[in-house]
Amino acid sequence: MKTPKIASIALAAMSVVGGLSAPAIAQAAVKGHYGGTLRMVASAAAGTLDPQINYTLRFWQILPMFYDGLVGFEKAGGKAAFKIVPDLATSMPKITNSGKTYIFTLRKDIKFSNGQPVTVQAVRHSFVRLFKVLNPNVGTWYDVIAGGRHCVKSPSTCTLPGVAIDPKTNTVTFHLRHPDAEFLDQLAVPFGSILPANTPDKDMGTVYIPGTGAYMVKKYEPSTEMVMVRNPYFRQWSKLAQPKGYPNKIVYRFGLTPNAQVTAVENNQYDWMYNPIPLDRLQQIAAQYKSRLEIHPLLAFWYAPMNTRMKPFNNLDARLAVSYAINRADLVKLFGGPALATPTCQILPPGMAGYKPYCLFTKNPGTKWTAPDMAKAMMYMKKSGMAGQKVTIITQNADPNHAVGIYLQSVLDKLGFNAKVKGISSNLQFTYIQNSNNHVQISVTVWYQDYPAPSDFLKVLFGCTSFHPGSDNSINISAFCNDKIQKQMDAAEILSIKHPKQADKMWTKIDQQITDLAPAAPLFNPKHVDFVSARLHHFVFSGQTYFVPDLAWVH
Amino acid sequence: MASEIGAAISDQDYARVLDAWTAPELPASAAQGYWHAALAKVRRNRAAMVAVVALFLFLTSCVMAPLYAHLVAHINPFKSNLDGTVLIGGKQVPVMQSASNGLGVTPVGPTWRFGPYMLGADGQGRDVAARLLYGGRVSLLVGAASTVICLSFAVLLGIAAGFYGGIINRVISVMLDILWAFPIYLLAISLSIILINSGIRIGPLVVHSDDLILPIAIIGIIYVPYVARPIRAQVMTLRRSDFVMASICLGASDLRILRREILPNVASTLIVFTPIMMALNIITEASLSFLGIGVQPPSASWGTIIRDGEHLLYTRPLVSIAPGLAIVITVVALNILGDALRDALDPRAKLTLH
Repeated sequence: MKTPKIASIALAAMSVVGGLSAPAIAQAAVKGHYGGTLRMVASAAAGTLDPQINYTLRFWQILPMFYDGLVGFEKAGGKAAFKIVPDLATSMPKITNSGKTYIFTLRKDIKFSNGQPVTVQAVRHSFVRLFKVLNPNVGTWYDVIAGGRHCVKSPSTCTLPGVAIDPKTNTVTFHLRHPDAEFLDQLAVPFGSILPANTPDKDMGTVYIPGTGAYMVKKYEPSTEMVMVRNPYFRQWSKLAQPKGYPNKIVYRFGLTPNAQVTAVENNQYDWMYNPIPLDRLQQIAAQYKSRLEIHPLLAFWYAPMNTRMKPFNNLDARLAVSYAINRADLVKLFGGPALATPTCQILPPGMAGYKPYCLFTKNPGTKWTAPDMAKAMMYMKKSGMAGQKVTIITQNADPNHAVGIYLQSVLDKLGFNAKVKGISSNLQFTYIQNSNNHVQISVTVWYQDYPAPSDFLKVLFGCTSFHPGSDNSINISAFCNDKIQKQMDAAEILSIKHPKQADKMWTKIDQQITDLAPAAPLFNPKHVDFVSARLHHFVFSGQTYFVPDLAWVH
Repeated sequence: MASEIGAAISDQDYARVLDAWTAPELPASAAQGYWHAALAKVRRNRAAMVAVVALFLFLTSCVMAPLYAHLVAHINPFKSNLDGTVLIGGKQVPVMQSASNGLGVTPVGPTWRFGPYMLGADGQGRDVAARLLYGGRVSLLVGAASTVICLSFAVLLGIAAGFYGGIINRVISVMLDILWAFPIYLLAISLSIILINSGIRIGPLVVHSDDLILPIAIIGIIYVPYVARPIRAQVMTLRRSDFVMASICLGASDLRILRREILPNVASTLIVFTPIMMALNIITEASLSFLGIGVQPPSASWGTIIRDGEHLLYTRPLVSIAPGLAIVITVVALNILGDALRDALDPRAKLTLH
């Protein structure tokens, strides 16, 4: 929505400075501005470059520039960003056998950045490699492929019979164990990247694996910088999935603190910064450079999971007391103000399929949170009989997560608990709170969508199958399991393959049911702020990967 | 040898001879005069007296923190107050002020009145002045208690190694060398990460992860080699001195020699070390707390308050500056006092901490 405005400002400026004629301006608007070097900056690199291993937003933002899957998310802003389009496949797959067979036809004459042709053998090898390199999600996503379970148990002997290829017809056929409405989403993320057939079955770390994208990595030094240049073998086959890209070169520097990043972007030394703007700089930046700020809502929510199998939150009334007592407007203040976050009472974020505004934990329950209901909270607290119970809130040791924990401590103390906050390293906290051996009672965390599906919030975070006792990889942090709701979620998933609208209605109901049982206290939906240089135009924000660097114009 | 002398003279005579040989070179009145003279010298040192006054004022203010919080600030400095208001210029103003465009929230600044929010609010809407006083209690307590632990262990180990020598000296020296070999902050951070995440459970003894004893013990222990080694060296010299040799020759017990000959001579070193170590410990506590591995919430210390203000440096720098200044003043005062004590007690001493 902001793009046309920025484009018009840019064109006006070009006309003043360069004296361009009206047709020339119109032509530039259509063609965009090719060339130049885009300079990005972040506090640190995000580890391995291997697209089948890296699971960080920081690199999921850039990996789609280097790699393609059979399908991909459209590189665009707005709702189009969640649309899956054919990428290395000529068209969307033919789905047969009641949703258990997917047949893709591979495009011809596409080459990797080392000149090797893309073949069906490479496709098959890529999916076998997913298991061999121990991709973090093989056990939850890709084991749906026939033979996948064996591959999870024994990666070294993985042959993955569920991926069949036919070089003559250039087709790849996936046989699934059961229908999976999210299989295409899972193929569209960077894990589904197609790599050369001779790629070693190990984490390639800082070594760039040749890809099919518009750009390739020329240099990657995690402590200093990554340099990306155009892929000489690239030809644009799908503008939606893999556009040619505007900048000729992209440099991503690492090692600047967020405050230093703000100053550097302010002075146009860099064009875009990865880290959020520190809150104490936000007001100044917003006042001075409003036109250079981009604010976008995210499909995400901050929440406080409560362990439904441990005292005191194994008691529904205790959980309801906490949910009613939280002043979500206060939390919005901690996050930077109403322009950066919106209070929420439910699991699904606005914009997600199946989302219907619903708020129980407020004064005057309805569709919107207005104020905490302390009277009701105290009533539930009394009913629970949990007053005086010791509660430890596990947070990250960095703000805003820690600040939210400190606030929750005040709320819990007010309710009559004896609460304390324990902040642990930001790198460890997310896995620590998942492991039931750590006996975490309540914590603070945030969940961003992997792909735009309601099950990615409801089933992943509150499904019985997501709870794995004693494991660091047990994303159902509340250890919540309700058989009735689980059956509904399974049914909704299957229904969404053929009747997505009906399935969305089911998800709406499930969202409300889980919310009412309060396995977690939803806090707020965050928004994302990007600060860009004066020379950066055509800022495109994809809800899937956020800022799309290759679509930016640098003057 | 003692038994031979003992056989020749009576016990009372033996004690008299021993006292005559091993008593300090100065008579009792002169020894008393030594301490009086040292105290008088400290009193004459203007800088030292200013330091003492500053420390006294800090200590008194911090002790009265609850009174300030209840009677002046009217606030619980450990609870979030994000939706609170404060009276400024006759108007009720929100403690957390949102920008008109909704981008950014700034805590109320200092009112500079002896009342609520005299030094402004922090990111949770808490009164900075009240937290500063409460934080001071914790910082000074951690500084003092860890100094006691450090000096106690240092004296014990330094005297044992220096006096007995041999295998005891070698074992203790190796232990101290190992501890010394670690970069001090790396050691403190490692211990803090392990202990503050899990606490300690040794049989019936349970120390919770948020207990103040943990930072006190960690800080106390890491500096032991820095004091124990100079004490060991001093005791080794004393051990070879004439008056100690005389005591040994006269058959005095180790305990008596340690109590009458060694400890009094080490006391001045310890007194000089006390303010210096306390200053160092206060800085270490602040550093660890700033990193989130020292004093744990809901407690506050000057280090944690600096950390609270880290994200407000551009808009409300006083949140960090105030505890920073408190640390600077306290540490400078303690160092001045340490220097003055050193000059007064032993003008020839050259104590250095590396």
